[in-house]
Amino acid sequence: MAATRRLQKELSDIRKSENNILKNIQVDESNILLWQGLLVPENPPYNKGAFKIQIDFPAEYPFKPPKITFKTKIYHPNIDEKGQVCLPIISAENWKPATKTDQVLQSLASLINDPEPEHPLRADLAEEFTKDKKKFMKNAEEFTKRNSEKRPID
Amino acid sequence: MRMLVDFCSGAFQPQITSDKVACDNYDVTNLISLDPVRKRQGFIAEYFIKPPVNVTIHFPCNVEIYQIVLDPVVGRQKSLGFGIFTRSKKIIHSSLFAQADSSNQNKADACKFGNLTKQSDTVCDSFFVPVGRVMLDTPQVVCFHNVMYRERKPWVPDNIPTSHEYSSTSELRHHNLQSLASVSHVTIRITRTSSGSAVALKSIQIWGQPSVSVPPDQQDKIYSICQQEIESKAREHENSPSCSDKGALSSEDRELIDIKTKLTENGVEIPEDFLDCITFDIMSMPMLLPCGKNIDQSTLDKFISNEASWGRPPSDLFTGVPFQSGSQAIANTALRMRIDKFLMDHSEQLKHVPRTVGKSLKVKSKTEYSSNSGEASKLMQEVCRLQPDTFITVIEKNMSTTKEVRKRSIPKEKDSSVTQPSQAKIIKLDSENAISNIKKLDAEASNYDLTRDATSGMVHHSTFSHRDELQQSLDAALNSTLGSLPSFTSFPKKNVPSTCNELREICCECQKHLSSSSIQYKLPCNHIICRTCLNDRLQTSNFKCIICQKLFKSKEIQRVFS
Repeated sequence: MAATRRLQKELSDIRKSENNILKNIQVDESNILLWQGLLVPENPPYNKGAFKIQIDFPAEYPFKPPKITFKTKIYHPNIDEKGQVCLPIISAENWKPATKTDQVLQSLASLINDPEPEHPLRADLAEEFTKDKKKFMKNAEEFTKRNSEKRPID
Repeated sequence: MRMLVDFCSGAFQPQITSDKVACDNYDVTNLISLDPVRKRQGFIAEYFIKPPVNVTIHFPCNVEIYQIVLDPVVGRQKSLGFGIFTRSKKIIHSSLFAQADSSNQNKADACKFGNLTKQSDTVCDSFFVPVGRVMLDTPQVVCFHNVMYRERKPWVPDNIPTSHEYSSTSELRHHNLQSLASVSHVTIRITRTSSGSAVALKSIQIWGQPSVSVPPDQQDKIYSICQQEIESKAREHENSPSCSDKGALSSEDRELIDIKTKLTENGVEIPEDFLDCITFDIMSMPMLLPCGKNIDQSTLDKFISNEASWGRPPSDLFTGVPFQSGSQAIANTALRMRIDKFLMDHSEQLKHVPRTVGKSLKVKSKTEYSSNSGEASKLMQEVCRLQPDTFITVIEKNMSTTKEVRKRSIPKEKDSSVTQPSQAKIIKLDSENAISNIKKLDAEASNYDLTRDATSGMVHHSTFSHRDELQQSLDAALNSTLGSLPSFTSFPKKNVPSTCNELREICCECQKHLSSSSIQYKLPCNHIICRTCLNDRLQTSNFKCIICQKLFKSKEIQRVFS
């Protein structure tokens, strides 16, 4: 399988790097195509919690893009209730085989830290975000407190 | 008796600073690093920095300088002009002696050391005074010798080369004795570089003894550190001449090396260049992209077909720039040859890796036919695989002949293999059967040996054992069977007789025996000619083979590797 060696390399690189965005990466020994980890955003209102995400790599990786889903509920205009994310870098059309998972995660982290209400998955939240930012921040913070995982201690 | 000390060695924890920014990886701290890898790097200032650049070293104790040795060449970066300045401030406290264990200094201590020296500054000794300078014509190692150095027992300068041994020397002098005999700081000012070069300094050695003012216990300490360093260096040299493991930085470096060497497969370390930048598999057909990276052809094909499904033209995977007539992926044959060579060398461990070469090696082995019977049967299996049908007849016949009269076995086999190729097609056995037959044959052979031993009266015409004979007959059968097949590896068969190996080593013109190391060429008529004879011919433009009088063209000559 073409994906295996590439993923092994990427995984070891990510685990070795100092400032990894994804903490506690868990990969099943038998299936390297499925990664789970904790995303710890830096910006409010999400900086109080951690969010479990899952990365599914297709068998054709790196020729097909991975899929990212949020396992933890998040109050975010670009992530829907099912946990689906709209990330241009991993859309089938824009995907480049040279893109590394690390870059994908970076792009994900910047999307979480700075929501993009221009192309939302949840229009209601996007509207709230643009029209009443204070209210959005308050709601999101409460939501984060209620639903998110504990942040891992460094 | 004590040797002089290089106070620039990291073991004494000097502090080094530069007033200008350094190039990445060429930091000024390299000059005093304990890690040999870093130490070898040296110091290079950023390319836009112009001289002068000051490199200042703070010593842990006051030093009487004996000599300063500078190496101004780092790769192609060369410095030419140097000025040496010293400062003689009394050092009262220093981290080197404050700590019980001096070998692991941490940053906090370094700061403390810096602060203390600053606090105790007084007006009279806070100046740097010039003590020497030099302008080199050619960038080379330069030695500054202190003409005012007074030898003081027990420190004796006999462990280091004197200034006469350096091709380029200069003197250190100053009217104030203190400025060379009780030095706390040395500044090396690089005042000139060779044209177009960045400011560079490969290494600094400052040899000397602790000055008179240094208390005896500190002197002892310095000496013991010096001894330790020499010992540990000797030990390192024994253990691993290339890599040392001192200090935190070197361990970091080692980790980096670990990552690099981790790319192994079945215990074989695979060079990074051989891996596809996308899939990290070993490439079989490397293609060089316009961006300079190599990927396998299969990867490129998949990518191009993916791109085509989105209606996009083929492009560089990394830059996204579409291929044009001037810039597109090209086969990297040089790299492919290196990969092939690597795979051939490690063919046992890397069997599963796809490759473009390899079969010819096995076929070639028939000429290197050895007398070992185990290898013989292996070879037979191999041949069975290649030509199962034809070969089985040989074995069948072989078995019957072994049962019968052994004297006739050799000619009969030859006959059988030559005259009965049509029968071969009739007998349909798969190669597995053939292998089991070979095993039977072997067992029978040993049986036969036993019976022969028992009936010792039986006369045999040859002195060869049955096993040898069997091998010979198999060899002959093999040669005749394979000889009729079209061969893609060009063995000189027709014009050169069967003893080609011997003829091969004789030049057809001067009749000299050619050793395997000599350069030999093959003419299109398969005659071997040595380089000297060929050169003579080419000069006189006599393009005719001396043996068969066949004309040849210079482009038809092939070099032969024996």
